[in-house]
Amino acid sequence: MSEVLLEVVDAEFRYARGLPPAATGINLQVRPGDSVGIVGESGSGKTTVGRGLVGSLFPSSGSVLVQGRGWKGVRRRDPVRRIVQMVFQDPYASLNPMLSAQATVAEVIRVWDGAKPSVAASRAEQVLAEVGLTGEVIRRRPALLSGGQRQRVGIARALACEPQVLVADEPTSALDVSVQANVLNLLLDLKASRGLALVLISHDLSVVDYLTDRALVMLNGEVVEHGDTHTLLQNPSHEYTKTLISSIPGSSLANA
Amino acid sequence: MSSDLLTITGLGVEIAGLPVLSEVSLALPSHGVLGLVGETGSGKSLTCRALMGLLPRIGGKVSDGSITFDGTTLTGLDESGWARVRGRQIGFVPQASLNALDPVMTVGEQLREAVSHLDSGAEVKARCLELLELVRLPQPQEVLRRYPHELSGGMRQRVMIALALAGRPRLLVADEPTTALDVTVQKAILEVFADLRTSTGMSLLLVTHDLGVVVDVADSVAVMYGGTVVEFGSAREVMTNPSHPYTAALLGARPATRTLGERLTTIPGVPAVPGQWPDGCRFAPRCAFARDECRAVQPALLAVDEHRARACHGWLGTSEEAVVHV
Repeated sequence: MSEVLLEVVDAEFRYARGLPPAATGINLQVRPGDSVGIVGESGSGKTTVGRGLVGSLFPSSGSVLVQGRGWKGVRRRDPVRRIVQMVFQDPYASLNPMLSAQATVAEVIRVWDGAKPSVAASRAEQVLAEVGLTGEVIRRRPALLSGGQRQRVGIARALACEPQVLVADEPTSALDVSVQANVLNLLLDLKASRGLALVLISHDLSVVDYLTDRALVMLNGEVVEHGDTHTLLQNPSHEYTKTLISSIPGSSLANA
Repeated sequence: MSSDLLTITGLGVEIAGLPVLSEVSLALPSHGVLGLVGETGSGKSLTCRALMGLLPRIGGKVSDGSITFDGTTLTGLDESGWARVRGRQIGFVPQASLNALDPVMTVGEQLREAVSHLDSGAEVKARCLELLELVRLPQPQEVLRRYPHELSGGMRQRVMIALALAGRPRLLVADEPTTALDVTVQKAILEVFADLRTSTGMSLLLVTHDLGVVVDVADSVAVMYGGTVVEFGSAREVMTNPSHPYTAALLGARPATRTLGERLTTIPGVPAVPGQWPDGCRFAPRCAFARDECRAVQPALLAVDEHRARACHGWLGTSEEAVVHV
């Protein structure tokens, strides 16, 4: 067994004391190259778990460990933060509107590696090329980029930290099906070329099925089913999973 | 055809002199459901706007072709003419309608306003409740007292549909009605549309970028690219055996058609920019099968067989070429 990069042990997450937990009883291990899906509807707690994984929310009980360390007490510039990086749902809202694609990625490299601006700029160019953005496009601000290009910038920004785990929260929900295909292919390529582990949060079972080996199905803050993604979809044991599967658009076509 | 409730023939639309739609043709029979599919910028929403007489508000005008609804020509109507059609003959659920409700009015106030404006003969209170029941909102009495922020996304979308039904339209135009919703909620909303068709006998024009949604609810489908219709026909036929390379590529881009590790089909290049259309077929620059003819002459929408028409110079799609596994 390879080392565990990220481990969640019986974690519970609350946004305030007195409120019911937003997620509870969460257990998860992520090893290098793993690909894990977290599925559920709005309000099921899947984004809460994502926030717990990247350390922007601490568990109220249980633990989230990155290479064996809890997030609490990790300083802002602690290198352990590089290990887990996040890609957000809305690429427009999560990019600085005043920075070009290149400057967005270069900023990360400057801050984390203390690289000179010129060095950071040329490294940013390499990372952007890795996600398929080259030429004058990288000097554009978000407003002049298409939805798919923006999401590529978001992915490049995460990659600039040289992470080992990428947590992607609904990375393609805001995109057209044809653009989604490009981004999903890119994530698949990056997994292979960088040996990245991927945690994919999505309400779309077809995306999760396409990209992950294991999946958790969440409902009302709890994991109702988990296991091998394909088996889980072929042979769901929980009623809710069955509902989700029957809701995939076009399922009538697939069964035809 | 006389049995068609809605016929759009060779519709062209200009905004500030730029041709944004051209040769848009489709037909929707009474009680039918038509899916209008395409990527962002393909002209779906503009077609809806033309159909609702809302082009002047964005500086657009019909430059060519006609829209006929139940034997009446809509193109060329003046504002008072449109007012008799809008809401009463054709109901509209606009895109991003989740934020379209008035935040300082209760659902009841908004529904009462719509009903008294559009359906003068109706007993207002009873009709409001009936509308909420039509869209399957549980506890309609309670919902009438709520403000939009107290409702979930799915509930707000149901209220928007109820508002669009207030004038008892014979055709409902819904522009991306489920795009921002969870799959389970999306399925529930699509079931509402299916029920409405049975209970009220109305027709539905459903705009979506998701081909899966179309095949679940629509009888026929019009696929748009670059401001024109590239394929039109029976939904099942078009989805299982596409005759246009763009339709085939869209189908191949769906993750549901692929297994783990297999790459999705992508369409090279970027969508054509509205108004700056390439010469010839608008899809030619991105089409793997384009020939010289395709880059020179724009193909017309012609019947392939009795079930469908396509605008293509001759891609002989074999299922293998199209790489469509469904």
